[in-house]
Parts: sequence; C-alpha cells; structure tokens
Amino acid sequence: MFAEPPTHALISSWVETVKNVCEILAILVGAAWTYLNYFRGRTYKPRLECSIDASVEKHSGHSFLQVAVKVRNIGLSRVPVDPRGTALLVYSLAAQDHTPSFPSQIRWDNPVAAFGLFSGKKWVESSETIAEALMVALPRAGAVTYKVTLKVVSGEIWWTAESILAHT
Amino acid sequence: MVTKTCDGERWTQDEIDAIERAKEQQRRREQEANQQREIDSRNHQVENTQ
Repeated sequence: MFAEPPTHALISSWVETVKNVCEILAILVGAAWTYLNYFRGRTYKPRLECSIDASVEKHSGHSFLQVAVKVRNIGLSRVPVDPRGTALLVYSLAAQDHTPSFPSQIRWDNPVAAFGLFSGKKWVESSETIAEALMVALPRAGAVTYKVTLKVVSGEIWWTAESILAHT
Repeated sequence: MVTKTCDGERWTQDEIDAIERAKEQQRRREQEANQQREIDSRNHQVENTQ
C-alpha cells in the first residue's frame, strides 16, 4: 500500500519548520528593538541644551543689559527652530514695588520687552551650537531686578532657560 | 550662566500668541522711538541753521 516517508525527509521537514519559526522570531525581535530605539527611546527625541548669560553693564552713565544665549543640540536628530514664539523675554521688578513683611515668591507680570532670536536659522543640526548676543539699553530707574527668559520653539515643544539679575 | 537641558515642554497657543504680541509691541515702540529721534535731529539741525 503506502510506503512510510523516509526518516531523513521527516527530519528535514522539522528542521525547515524550526528554521522558519526562528526567522519569524528574529524579525519580531528586530522590529521590537527598532520600535523601542526609535519611538520609545530618548536618543532620537529632539533634545536641546539652552543657556543664558546676562549682566548689566554701565557705559557713560547709561545702563545696558548684555545677554548671550546659546542653544546646543544634544540629540541625534535635527531640530527645526520655529521663529514664532522663539524669543528673549525681559521682565522687571522695581524694588519699591515689592516690600513684603515676610519672604514671598515674586510673581513676574507680563514681559516689559521681547526680542526675536535666531531669525536666519531654520534648524539646529545634531551637536551644533547656535548663539546670539543682545545688548538692550535700559531706562533710567532706581534699583530694578530683571529676569531674562529664553524660549526656543520647535514644533509643539519649547525649551526655556532663565536668569535673574539685580541692577542697583 | 544658566543652563537647562531637557526634552522640552508643550506650549499652548495662548502662550505663543502672548509672546508674539510682546515682540510686535517691542518692534512698534522701537520704530516710534527711531522716528522721534529723526524728528528731533531734523528740528535740531533747523534750529542750528537759523
């Protein structure tokens, strides 16, 4: 009647099946690694290191706010810079405006000045640093405390760096 | 020097609009100040020639 399949044919069929299963598993593991690395991992997320250095300088009786801002891309992907919302904001607080009887946190109101930054820059490459320096003439006033805030907008995200300095 | 590293935060449209309004106001004030400076300079020249 029917002859039984030879043993070596049966073995090779099993080997083929195991090989196919292994290939499918390898593809699944590779896909999972790719998903974790690119979509869940932080490496390819846009990451910026923002810094701000501000001081008040006096020249010929006039006071100037000197500000240097730097943005370094520490991620591996290119980060576009959106000019809309990217700015240096200056807040001020006159000493006589706030004399509390106990230590209380200052609430800064709206900025007294705002300046656009990085107007010619469309993006920051990986490991690239972009910088800009501003000099702002200050009005004649008594003791004033300033807060300078750097805002860098990219897509739906923004980065912030702040510094506070007193001008007497 | 203040340095901050982070993944960033989501902004709201109101926050961006407020910044853009402040930038526009700044541009307007600077433009007006420049125009005023030019007028003052011209007046000064006229006074000197008289």
